[in-house]
Amino acid sequence: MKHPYPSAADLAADESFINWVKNAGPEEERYWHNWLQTHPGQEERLAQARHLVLLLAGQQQEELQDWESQQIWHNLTEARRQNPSGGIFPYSLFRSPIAAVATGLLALAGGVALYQAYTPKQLSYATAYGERKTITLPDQSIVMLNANSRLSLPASWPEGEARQVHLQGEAYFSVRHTARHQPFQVHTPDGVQVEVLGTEFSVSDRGQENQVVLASGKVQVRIAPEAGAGKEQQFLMQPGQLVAMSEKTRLVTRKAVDPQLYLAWTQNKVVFDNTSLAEIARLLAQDYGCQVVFADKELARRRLTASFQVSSLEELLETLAATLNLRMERQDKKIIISKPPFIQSPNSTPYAK
Amino acid sequence: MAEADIWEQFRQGKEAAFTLLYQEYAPVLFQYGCKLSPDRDLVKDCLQMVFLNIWKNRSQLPAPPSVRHYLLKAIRNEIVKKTKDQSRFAAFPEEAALEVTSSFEAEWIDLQTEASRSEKIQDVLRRMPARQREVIFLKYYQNLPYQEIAAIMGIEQDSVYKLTYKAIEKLQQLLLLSLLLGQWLGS
Repeated sequence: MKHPYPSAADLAADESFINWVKNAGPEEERYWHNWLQTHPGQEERLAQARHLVLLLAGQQQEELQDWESQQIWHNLTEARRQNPSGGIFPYSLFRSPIAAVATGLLALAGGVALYQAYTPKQLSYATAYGERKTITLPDQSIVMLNANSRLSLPASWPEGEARQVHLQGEAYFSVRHTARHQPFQVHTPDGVQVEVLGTEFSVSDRGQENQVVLASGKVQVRIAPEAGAGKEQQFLMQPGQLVAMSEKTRLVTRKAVDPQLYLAWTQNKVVFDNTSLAEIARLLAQDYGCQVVFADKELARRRLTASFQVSSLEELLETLAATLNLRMERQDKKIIISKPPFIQSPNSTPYAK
Repeated sequence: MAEADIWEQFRQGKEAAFTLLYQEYAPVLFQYGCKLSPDRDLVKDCLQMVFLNIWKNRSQLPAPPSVRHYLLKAIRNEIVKKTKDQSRFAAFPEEAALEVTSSFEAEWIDLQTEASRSEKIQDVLRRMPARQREVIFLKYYQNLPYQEIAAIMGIEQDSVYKLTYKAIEKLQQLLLLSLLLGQWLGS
């Protein structure tokens, strides 16, 4: 580092610095240790720069899904077979020029079907915060997509093969049997695959946990080993069971539950069963994009058992405030939960806007 | 098998070698491609085209010092070609999109929730100009030296450094602001 007084950005852009952060060998350690000695007062800068490098290095990527990779490979094989000696390859194996006109800009907001290709290949549905969508699949199965979720599937499933869909977020599935017993498979980005023949269940891949709750029928859950190491885990589920996998530890737990607790959202109901406020805060973040702040930390530990019908965030907050006797102040996406003032005038309400 | 051997076998038309190349490089080419275009299908198309082309021309290809470098550059060329054809359909919203009409406070507040924090950072990264995004990917994720990045992108090494620096500064603004307001993120 030649700069006498580098900024954190200077450091973070420096190749030898980046090397040190990402794979510190003894030589790098020595160099930067020395550098710190000869540049006193730069520790904070160094820490900031290190943080920046880690953030940039840890950014999420668009991943080529297995099925996409296979699809491309399949196309490659076909194309090579048709043109063994070279020659002209088709312009596009994914989109026709007409499709290019039809798709245009991808709009992510609003939960409208992301796009439907003119030569239909791939369907994608997304919901925004606070939004739910009911989707009918090509086989007449029904999917209820919860807020802040995304479902994608091919416009038509190949004959004799499993019906595959990909889910990010949370959805409830009511799957129909097909005459040819095609299995129905739900894949989540974490490598959890749920396979059914015809049944009702919910799949949730939110935050740090993947969950499958079975309401009726039979379901097989397969969990791919992480990064290809180890074995695939398989579970056969019965109705009234929940299988959960922690994203961090990859540990799987199974327990008996009342499916209604987990499927209440499909009827615009909210059900809490000794649920902590911290958990409720997480739900508000996930489904509504809210950020909850507790004025008093111990409030987060309060628990609630109740069920109510709600059709909007406003209503939910009002009901929560009234039930818990707490004050919920809302500023756009931020919600501040606090104890109501000790002396209440007859006209004040716990819920303030 | 060493990379050079696989490439050589592939040039001789060995199916197994071609399969290996695909398995090894398709994912990273796709990741890179997505930095250059938001159109997933277009990226997949270009990915496909790259492999089709190298197969078609296998006997006439050079033996590059780095297969990864060669392929990264190939998909870049392919995507640039394709997006030029459809220049009407703009790629990413550029820098202007990061205008702060809501106050900065609204932005940094979002950073508190863990879920939205990484999302926020992703959001910032996504809104950077395509070139900055490219450079960040090649430097911090692929760990390529500036020299190689310059070769892949077809620009001067100096420009690569400048792009990187600008991108970091932008990210830093957002984070430093939250530091000032007393909410250090930690890692």
